[in-house]
Amino acid sequence: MGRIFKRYLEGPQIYSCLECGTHFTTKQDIISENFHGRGGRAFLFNQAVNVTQGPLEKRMLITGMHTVADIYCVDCQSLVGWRYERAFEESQKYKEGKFILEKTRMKLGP
Amino acid sequence: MSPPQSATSPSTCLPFAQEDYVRVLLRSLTDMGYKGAARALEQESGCTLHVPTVRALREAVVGGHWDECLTALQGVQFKGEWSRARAIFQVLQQKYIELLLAARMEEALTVLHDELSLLCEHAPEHVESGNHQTEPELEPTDSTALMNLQALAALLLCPDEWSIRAKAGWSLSSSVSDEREALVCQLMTLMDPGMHIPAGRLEELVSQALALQCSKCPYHNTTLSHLNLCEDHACSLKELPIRTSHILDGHFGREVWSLAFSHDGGCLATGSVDGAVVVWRLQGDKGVRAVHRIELRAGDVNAPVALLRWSPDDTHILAGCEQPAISCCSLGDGGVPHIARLEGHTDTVMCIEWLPDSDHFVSGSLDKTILLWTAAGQVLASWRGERVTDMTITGTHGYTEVTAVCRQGTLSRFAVYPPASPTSATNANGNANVNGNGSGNGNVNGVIEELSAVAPVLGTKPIMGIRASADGSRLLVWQDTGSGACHGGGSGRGSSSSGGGDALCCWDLSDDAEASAAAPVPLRGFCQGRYLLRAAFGGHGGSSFAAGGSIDGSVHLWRIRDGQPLLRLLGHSDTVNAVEWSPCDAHTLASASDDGTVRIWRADTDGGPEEGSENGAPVTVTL
Repeated sequence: MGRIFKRYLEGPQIYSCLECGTHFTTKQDIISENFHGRGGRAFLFNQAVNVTQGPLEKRMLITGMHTVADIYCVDCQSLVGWRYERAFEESQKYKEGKFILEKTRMKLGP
Repeated sequence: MSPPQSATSPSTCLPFAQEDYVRVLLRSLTDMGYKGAARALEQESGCTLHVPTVRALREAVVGGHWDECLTALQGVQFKGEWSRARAIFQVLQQKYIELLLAARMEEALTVLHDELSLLCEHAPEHVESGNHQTEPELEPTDSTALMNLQALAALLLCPDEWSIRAKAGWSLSSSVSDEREALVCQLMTLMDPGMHIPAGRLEELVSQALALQCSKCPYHNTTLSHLNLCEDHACSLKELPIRTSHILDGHFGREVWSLAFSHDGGCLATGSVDGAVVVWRLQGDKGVRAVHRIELRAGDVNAPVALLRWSPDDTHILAGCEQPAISCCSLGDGGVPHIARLEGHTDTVMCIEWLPDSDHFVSGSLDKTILLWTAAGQVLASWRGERVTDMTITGTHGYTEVTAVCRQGTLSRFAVYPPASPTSATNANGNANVNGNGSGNGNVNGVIEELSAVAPVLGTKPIMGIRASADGSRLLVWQDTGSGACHGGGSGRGSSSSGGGDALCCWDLSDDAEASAAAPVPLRGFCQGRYLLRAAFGGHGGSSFAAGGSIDGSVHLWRIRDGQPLLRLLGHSDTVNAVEWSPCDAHTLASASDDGTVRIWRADTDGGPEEGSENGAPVTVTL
């Protein structure tokens, strides 16, 4: 692995990786705070940077069947959440293309 | 004049008249001193170097026969009516000054009253035209003839010869005949171009032809100062560094992230993920050997060496290790290098650049500051603003101009003034110097000041890095286009977004307005995936070519003139992180890779295989 290019975000509150501090997203990008991931609470974000995506797979979640892909930090490759590729129920379509990042995998800071 | 008689039948379809061609040859022969050959050519061809009227004029001026001179002037074609009037004026002026110097006052007055004033009354309006040469005037501010008349009249009042000479612009020791020769040259510039052939015309034409050949040469990277006239110049691929001469293995297989040549081209420093810097000495024919291995890691802290910078006098190396502290290695007297940790930033230092005086450097960091330091580690001045992720020096006239990448999206220019520099109280923007420090005297501590934004508009793609050529005339900018694996396949998972476009572009920063307004030259094929790779200028003249690494292990070479990709150098087995050209040798290139090795590439024209190599295979050098 070479020297990874990282984006740096601006703003008063930036969510970054718990392990290596790589910036992911900001508090302004939160769409909803009422999600649950594998490890606890999770937030739905409009966008995230410095993440790489794993393979797409169909998964049955609390809200129904979705096509999702797990996302990993570009630097330390730790699992931080997933991204919705496709939702099969109409009421869940708003999540398509958005990112779920788990609260336990991130830290909030300036 | 009569058509030239040539010994053989003239070749048709040439874009010039044979007569002009023979006259240019005559000029060249005369300039080189082959008078006999010139005369013989004149006789055989029937052309003369000088048109008869011009020859008569020349003889009249040199001999001082002013009336014949004026009649001869009638027969000569000038560039325009103003030029003719100007020529007559200059002849009369010469006559007048000579009379003054010979103390023949009455005749001088006659010239001034009758001939010169008559001329000035009827002089045509001076029309500014691009073709007119401006001659040195007695009164430098105004070029109307009347003013000159007054200056000439003032010469009457001069007490002695020396002051006349000084006021007239003649040197104190030149003889009358020298001045007459100078007058002939001035008259030549006013004449129609067909009337005379300027000195050195053939050499000028040949030089232009060679310059055209060089500009068309695809791989022009030659260090020869003289080009062969017998055939069109075209460099072959052998002028480019395409052959691996050495493989340097000094980091025990760990990824090598950074690379820097010393400014004298004799040493190469390599930095790796294992936190060590290895300094290699390049000894020309005697090969390469490792000189120092410097451990920069303090304890267990992970400190990959991502950034290396030699001071301009090659006594210090600054290293950035993805930490807030900068490590400074002093190589001074060749003994064990002394390492100092310079604290000052509060977040990762992303870029460092030395100022040309080798006593100061600037560093930019993620903590949104740029600091100006002394080489000893004292912080002198700071600028606070945006996160700075890369910077490069783009000018060194008066102040050091540094271009930095701010917020990964814009380029800002900064003027850095080290302390005790002889700048005045006004800075580059013309405002009073009040920035950066508490004392009223702005230059005690040095100043970092932001200039107006850089002209290139780069769109919305985040900027990964920039690099300026050594003379500051061009800028390489590479951006994150978001495309993942390219041809050849990358390692690891692809990135999330799909994008496109050119990752690497070359911008022209020179003062030529037309060139810098033009679109940037894209250098296609730069494949960086998610990695931060580096590219650099190099080659003949410092910015003929660019070389960049790639995630598939190849080194790409581009020609800057048109952005054409030239070669991919294969050899590394993993991502090439950094590529550098030697600053002194257009034929040497070095590349650092994730496979743990650094390769030195040489051009095939540099002698035979290296010492210790078998059949031309690259020589592996270890610690």
